[in-house]
Amino acid sequence: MNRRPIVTYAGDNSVFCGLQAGLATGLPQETVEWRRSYGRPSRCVHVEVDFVPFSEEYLGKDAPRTILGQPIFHTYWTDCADVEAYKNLARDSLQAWVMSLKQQGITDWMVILLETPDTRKGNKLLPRTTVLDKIKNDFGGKQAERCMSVIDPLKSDSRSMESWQTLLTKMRHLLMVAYNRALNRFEESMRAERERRTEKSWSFCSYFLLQEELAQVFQLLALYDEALVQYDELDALFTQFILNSAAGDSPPWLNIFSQPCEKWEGLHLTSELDTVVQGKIQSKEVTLLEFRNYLFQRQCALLFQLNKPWEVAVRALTFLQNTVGELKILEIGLAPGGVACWGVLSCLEVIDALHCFKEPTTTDAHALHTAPLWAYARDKLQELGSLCGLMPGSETSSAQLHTVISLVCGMGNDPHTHDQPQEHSSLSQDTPMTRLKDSLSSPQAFKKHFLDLSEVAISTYKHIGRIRSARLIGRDLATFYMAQGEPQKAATFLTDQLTMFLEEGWLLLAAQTHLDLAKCYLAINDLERYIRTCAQLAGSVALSADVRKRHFVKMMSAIQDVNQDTPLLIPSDRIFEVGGLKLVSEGRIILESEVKVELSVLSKLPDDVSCGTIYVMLQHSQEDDIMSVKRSSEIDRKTGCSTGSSQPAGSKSQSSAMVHRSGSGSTESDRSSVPSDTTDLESSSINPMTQPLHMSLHLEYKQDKALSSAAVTCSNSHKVLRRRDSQGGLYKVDRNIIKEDLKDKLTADDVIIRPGSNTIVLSTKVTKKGRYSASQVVLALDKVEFICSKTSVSGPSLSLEVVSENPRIFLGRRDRDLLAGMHQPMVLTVHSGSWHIAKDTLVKLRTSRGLSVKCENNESNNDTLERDLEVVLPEVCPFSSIAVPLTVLADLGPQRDAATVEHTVAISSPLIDHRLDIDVHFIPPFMSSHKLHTANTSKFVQVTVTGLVSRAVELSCPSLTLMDPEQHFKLIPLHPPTQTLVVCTDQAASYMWGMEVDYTRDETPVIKMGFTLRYRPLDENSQPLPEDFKTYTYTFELQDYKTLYTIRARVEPSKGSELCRAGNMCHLHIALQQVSSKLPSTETDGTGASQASQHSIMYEVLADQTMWAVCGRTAGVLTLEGGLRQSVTMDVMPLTGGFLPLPSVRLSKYIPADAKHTTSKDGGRKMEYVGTASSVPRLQPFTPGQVYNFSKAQQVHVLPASNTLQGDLSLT
Amino acid sequence: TMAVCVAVIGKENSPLYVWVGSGREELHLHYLAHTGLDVIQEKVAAVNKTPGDTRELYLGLLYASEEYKVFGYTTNTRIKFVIITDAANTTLRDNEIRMMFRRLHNMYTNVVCNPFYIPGEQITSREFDQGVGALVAGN
Repeated sequence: MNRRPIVTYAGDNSVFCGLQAGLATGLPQETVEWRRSYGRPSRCVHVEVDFVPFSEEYLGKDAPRTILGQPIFHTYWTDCADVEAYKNLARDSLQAWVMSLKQQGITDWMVILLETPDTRKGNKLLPRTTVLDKIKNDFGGKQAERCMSVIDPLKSDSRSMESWQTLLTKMRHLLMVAYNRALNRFEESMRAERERRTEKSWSFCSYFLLQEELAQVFQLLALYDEALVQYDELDALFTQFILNSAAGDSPPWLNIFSQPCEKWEGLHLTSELDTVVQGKIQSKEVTLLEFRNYLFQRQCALLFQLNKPWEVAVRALTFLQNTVGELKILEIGLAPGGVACWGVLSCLEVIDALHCFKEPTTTDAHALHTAPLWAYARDKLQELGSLCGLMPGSETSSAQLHTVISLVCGMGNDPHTHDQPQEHSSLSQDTPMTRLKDSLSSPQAFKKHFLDLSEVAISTYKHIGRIRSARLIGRDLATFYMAQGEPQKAATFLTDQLTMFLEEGWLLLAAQTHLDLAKCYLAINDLERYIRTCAQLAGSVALSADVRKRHFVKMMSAIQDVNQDTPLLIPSDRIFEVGGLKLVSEGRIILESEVKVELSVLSKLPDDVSCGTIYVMLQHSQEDDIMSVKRSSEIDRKTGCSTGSSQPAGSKSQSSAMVHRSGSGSTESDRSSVPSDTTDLESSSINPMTQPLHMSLHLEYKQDKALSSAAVTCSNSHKVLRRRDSQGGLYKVDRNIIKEDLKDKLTADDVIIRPGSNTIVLSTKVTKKGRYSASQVVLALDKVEFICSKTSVSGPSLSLEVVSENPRIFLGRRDRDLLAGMHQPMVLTVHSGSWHIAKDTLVKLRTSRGLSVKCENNESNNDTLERDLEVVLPEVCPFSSIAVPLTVLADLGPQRDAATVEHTVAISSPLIDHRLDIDVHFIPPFMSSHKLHTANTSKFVQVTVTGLVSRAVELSCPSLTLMDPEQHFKLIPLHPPTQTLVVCTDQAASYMWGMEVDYTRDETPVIKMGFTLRYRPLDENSQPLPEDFKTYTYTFELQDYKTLYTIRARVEPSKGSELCRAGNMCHLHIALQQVSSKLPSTETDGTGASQASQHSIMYEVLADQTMWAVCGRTAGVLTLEGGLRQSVTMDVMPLTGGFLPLPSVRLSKYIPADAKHTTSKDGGRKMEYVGTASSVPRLQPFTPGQVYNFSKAQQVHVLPASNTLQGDLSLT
Repeated sequence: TMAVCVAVIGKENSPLYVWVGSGREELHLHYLAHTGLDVIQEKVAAVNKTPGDTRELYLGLLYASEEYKVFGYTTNTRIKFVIITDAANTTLRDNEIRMMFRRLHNMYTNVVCNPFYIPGEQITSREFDQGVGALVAGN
């Protein structure tokens, strides 16, 4: 039943009745603005009213307790058509009505005059004479607008419609004014009532109904939010009263609510007002649960009307929890389980109600709040389950059966029994009460409902991302399943939870879960997991010592039951803290050597463990050199960075200084390179805060290069300071441990691991070259193995570089170039590589001919230089070298040029596989050359010794001897015999001997000469070194050394001139003289037959063409047949003045085309290609000593040309 | 007492410090604090969606059970504080909880300022212990 405010009607009831239907429907059709008092915002509302005939009974009530059902507005209706009738009849009636209103101080009234269209027309000419005018005049006063006319709306023309709408608008407006007035009055009295709340006689129930009236008015006006505010105020007020009562301030009326609740009916969410409870409130017999249900139901109804179903969800849990709290505070007697029943029912009711509002778009908003509701309902059902003995593993006693019956009774009637069946079908679910009753009926049914609820709760939590909450329910379920005798299912839930706890480091919770899991695994008889779990428990720091000890014993005894071939693998995480591996072996690790590594293990087990073996797996990798270089540079970089050093290592390519230049100054930052991401990640896996900052020096310069500022900057700040979201766990939980199968491992046998820290030395023999990196650490007990994965090993990872290097032998010079002919130091270097060289190992050296060698510091050997040498080595440690100084002497033979002396040293030794041939180059300190000089028939031999090296060499005792003892030439040294000379680079020494040639003899025998010299090296200060003189020998031959021809040439002016003059023809006289007529025959052996031809000599005049112009033939052939002399004269013309060198004359032997060769033609045909030299004339040059030119280097004075003579003369 | 449990939880959701009032079910409170992380994550994610620098660090009531109320607070470095109070303690005002968190935050800041403390590791500071003791005692 809906209550509405009342509008009375008076006057001509028949008139009103004709219009009532139209009014009742017309008024709410449009909104009207409600202007409100006290500055409250105006709202647009629909007005709905009930019309009742006017009666004086309605008036005159003070302090209204209600609004609805009360007259708030009064109307008077008349259809008085003319003024006369009005004056006679209507006026009095109207007068009485107005008077009765005025007496009550009512100002909200209205007078409506129904007109027909015709009545208006007639009175148009006379203004202010209509009935309306009269009424306004009589009653309107200042409120003339309260009187109005309306044209009969039954006449459907536009005018009547218009006037009808005007009436409705007017009426709505005035109605709202009246409403507002009434409400203000009501609120005032309500507030007054509230102010009295501390008085003893005050009752919350009465007040509740009063304010609820206001809420209902707002609801009627469709102002649901304002209505809700009223209920919320009541809720808050009530809550506050109860909280105050907890503090000892308990008003008398609260006793009503303190009465025991006999019933625990659930919430029933419906839009209908629960009049039964309302009646109970009125009669002050309501229980707390009933009242709370009622209030929340009203709030929910409004929230649903406001289309805020999620708000219902939000409030529901608070409502449930608060109510339970209030029950406690008020110490309300309630049968055990009653609250739980109420909770389950209410929860399900809310969830069901929300289900109706479920839309695809709002699903998530609901889920966020329904999830805790599901969980709450589940908790409460569980409470009931254990109360009634329905949980698995317990028997339902008769007392518990009785409890069930009384609980079911307390639920009362199902409020949904009267629901429309179609509503039910859409829900496709039983009502909350049906479900609860069913759950309590049998353990099987309970289990089904409980598991259903749990599943929904878990999945809803998961859906909204509350994994931890979901897992917590899962944990609860695990307990359920354990009791149910399904430990396998329980284990699944527990493992999930364990992983999360371990990942996030909640050790206490993890330990608890482990405890539960241990029970599970024991029940399943999963020995492997049981042992693992016991191990974890024994090592858990969150547990007490005796619990740990107990589980340690359990573990050890369980291990005895292990019955399988392969050992059981247990991840060592949280049991053993395996610390950094430290290399104990010193120096480089050589192949086949023993490597010792120290391992620190922190055992958290409460007792000693005896390990048969402890391994550290070694991962072997054969990296190429580039990789290892890269690695080592990375390590460099790392150490550089960790010390904050800004010094770039030499090998780094990135370390170039960056120079930024700008207008104001320049910035130079010397940055050490930033390690790659991979290394960053590695180090950040444990705690990102421990990651080192890569600091670098940052210098800023001014424009004049002066230092402006120096700073230390962090080059990887963007990485270090980057915000990382709290995603994922801190600790990795790796359950599926796999033992690596690696051949190489460091081992230690029979180790007892004591609680606390242990240090174990492991060792192995490395059999492969390359890099080993430490991987898993395995602690092997009798039947189980604790495995610590590579990532769990703390500290820097260990890597071994195993090297194998063969010994190497070098032969090298010490510092300078090696010189031939002198004692020179050399060094034999033996590098042991990765080997150990035993004492007295031999190295054999064999030199090529002319090179001898001796060991310098070997006393036992005699001091001679030999071509074979055996060097006896002392003991040499790996990766060290020994240098054996040697002295070598390369023989210096006749050295005609600067060519180096090359030698080879062959080295053989048991240390090296193959013979080593080493080329050694020696530079000659000097070289020698000879030259024959001629002066007419006299001969001189010059020997020049030219220094080739910067090292000075002292020369002494030069001697020149004839090699052939049968020859007798006299050699007269032309230099001081005891003179010592020094040669070095660009400094030469010359020696000269006069040689007497016997021209009497015909033949010119070849002279072999030997030049010897003693030399010794000098030091930098030209002091002789303590070294003996050595002898240098140089041999040479002289041929054709006799002078055959002499040439005399002269230039004479032509006849009549005394002097040569440029441009004038002169005569060149060339006189040739043969020194000995017999000579030509001797000189060409075996060609004596052609005697005549031997005497043909070709002369050539070679003149500088800028100085001389030779007229006529410049060459000719002479035959010195007749005599020893021949003269040739030719015309030459000097081209320029001055002292001109004479044109030179060259003599050559002329060999004409030989008749002998022409006769040798075959069959009359000339052999062109045989003996071409003979078939054409040819020239053969003389050796330098055979022709002596007297005029060599002579000059002739030539006067300038004649045309310049005058000038010249005048000048002189 | 003002609170029954105070927890400082690290960036990666691992507990750095958990104080549980004597005589309380330690395990249960650990569970509550841990489960509270769910709601903290949810609230932080919701706040992150709305732009603006001014982030309210106090996250308010995370959830309540019939016995306990769980309140949350998160620092800008994603350190979470959880304070659990008795649900029966009706006199405790929201503002008081807020003040407790602020004090806790200051205390935590002092811990982090210690150069010997590595952020992310368990807090083992006597001063912090005493601070928490005073905090929960309400003085």
